[in-house]
Amino acid sequence: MALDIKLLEKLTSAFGPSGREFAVADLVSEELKKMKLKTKRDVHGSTRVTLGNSGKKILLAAHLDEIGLISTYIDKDGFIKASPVGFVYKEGLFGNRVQFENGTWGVISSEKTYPKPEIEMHKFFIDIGAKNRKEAEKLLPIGTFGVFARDLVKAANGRIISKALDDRIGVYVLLKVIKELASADLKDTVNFVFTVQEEFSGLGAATSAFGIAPHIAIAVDVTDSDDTRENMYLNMRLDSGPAIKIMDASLISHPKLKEHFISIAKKNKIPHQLEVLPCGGTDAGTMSLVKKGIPSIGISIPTRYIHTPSEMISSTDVENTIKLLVAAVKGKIGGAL
Amino acid sequence: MELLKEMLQKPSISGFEKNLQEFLVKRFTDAGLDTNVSPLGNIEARKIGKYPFTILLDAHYDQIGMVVKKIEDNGFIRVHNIGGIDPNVIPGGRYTILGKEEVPAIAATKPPHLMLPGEKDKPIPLRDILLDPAMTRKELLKVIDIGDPIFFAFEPFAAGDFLVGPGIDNKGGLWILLAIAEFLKNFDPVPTVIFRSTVQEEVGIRGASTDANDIIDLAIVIDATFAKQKGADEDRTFPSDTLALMFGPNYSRKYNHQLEKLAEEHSIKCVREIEESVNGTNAYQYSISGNHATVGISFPVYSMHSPGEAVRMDVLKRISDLIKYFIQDFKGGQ
Repeated sequence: MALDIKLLEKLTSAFGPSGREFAVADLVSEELKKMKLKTKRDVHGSTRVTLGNSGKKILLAAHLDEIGLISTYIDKDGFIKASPVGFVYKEGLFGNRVQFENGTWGVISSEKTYPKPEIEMHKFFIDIGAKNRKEAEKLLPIGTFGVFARDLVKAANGRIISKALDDRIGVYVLLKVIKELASADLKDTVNFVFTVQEEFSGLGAATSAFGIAPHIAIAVDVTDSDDTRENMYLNMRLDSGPAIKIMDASLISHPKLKEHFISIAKKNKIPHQLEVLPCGGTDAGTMSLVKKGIPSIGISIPTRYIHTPSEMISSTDVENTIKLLVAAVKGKIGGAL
Repeated sequence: MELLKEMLQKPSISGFEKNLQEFLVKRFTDAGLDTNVSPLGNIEARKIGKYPFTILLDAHYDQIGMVVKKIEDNGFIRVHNIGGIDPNVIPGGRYTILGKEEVPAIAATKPPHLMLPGEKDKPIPLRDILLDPAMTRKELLKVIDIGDPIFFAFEPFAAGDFLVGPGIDNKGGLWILLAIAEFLKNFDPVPTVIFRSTVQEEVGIRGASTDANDIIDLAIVIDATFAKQKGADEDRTFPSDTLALMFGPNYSRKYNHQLEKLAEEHSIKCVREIEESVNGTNAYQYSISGNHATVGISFPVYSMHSPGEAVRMDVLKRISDLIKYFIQDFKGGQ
């Protein structure tokens, strides 16, 4: 099962910072329509499809949104100040292109002073080509959302470089899992939810989990692959398979779910690794604390350079993540507890 | 003291509380209480009273620890903290990795002879500390794996009036809950009394956040606070032989005053602990959740979040007595 690059490219190039995920949600609905599945979109924009109607309620989430920014101020010369939406890796900002929701484009930079300015968000500005404030105000009203634009490219060894792989690769994985299982006889009621605002507050995951009140919640998201030259502190590697999350800063996965996923991976001979991530969190952490608490786990796709406009993943990891989730959903996740 | 010692020897690292959970469920059930466990692991035991007023006693039952983050090719283990840990207390210590088997390990240190100038004075960040189980990676992977919790292997001991050991925060609080549960065996309270032991307090009040919205009337939250120690802020530390009542805009003035009066009547030493803003305790979580009054009662602990936490047993006893008197005196309609 080779990677469907065309679909992934469509997903990653879609515009969707937290709070403005419509284009990505539309793409998801369109893909599901091709499978003759009807989607429901809630008031916040989270989009969901349900397979099966017996057993325990499962929620499988991947988030639609990507990190981005929002314009906050225009100076007298027409340069734009902006604030990050989600955690922006500021070291990677210089020279980046910004695509705004209204079609305006710009480039990020800072004054060329010597010595070099310290990297601080407030020292950056965006140049949209406007000559003065009046012109800029027309092109880009305050409060316009933007994203860091970069095309998807293929690198060696089946690796992919693109913006927004966090978490369009999770969206891609869920779409493929749904496709495989659309006509399967499931022993659980599986709610696939494409959530909004994970990078901002986890609003989509919190409200969806509240509405569905599942017995088990699973988030499919990216995790740091700590295998570049320093290669020191973490266990995760590219090409070593999906990472079964044990903990991150937002979640300690339910021990029984952890055991369940490890045993499924072993039984189906799917390469996998275990994840202890010191920083960062996912929708799984948010969902785990909804209502009286929901046993939760994260399944992660190892990714390099997360939260920069050029994130890198391995195709084989994606394929193995799909395999793991298909095997898990087919095998009655509800029995894990 | 034996009961507290027994609990101290049962690891309950946040997220991995199963071991102590079974113990507590049994204790509460044995005390004749109707006991349930929530999806996240919070234990709730209740005794129904005659009067429609519910007092909830909360003490978290998780403790800080570490977790295996990576196993190096040479068998050394990289760790990550669970809860707030000062990396200063780690090097040279003895640990138990709770895998398929219990694996002992020490935190490797660099001999002082080999330290470079200035190195001695700087703490080693936790990410650079390596545990040495004296096994090869291959041997290790048979018995432990990434994500296994790590426990301070530190035998608790009594020293004068004190009991010393890792996890006094908040097994001291559990001791108080169990003492009151024992008391209710032979006493029918006027109000309903709920005992709740919550999980994952040390990683961000997660357990309490799922249950703090329940409909109750008064939450009494029991946890450790700081005992007076050289070099520590005077206004944030308390004499080790007193109990501390949390005072702040979000804590109940009415019940704090009642408890202070009750303490005075029974000659129980009691001081005020000013918590005027947001903090990471279960008491804070309860105070901003649901629609009930909240009070926080703390017992001072020396060397908090180290393997050698120390508490005076008589303070724990006095807190349990104070709450017993409060329940005994509760007549309803007030």
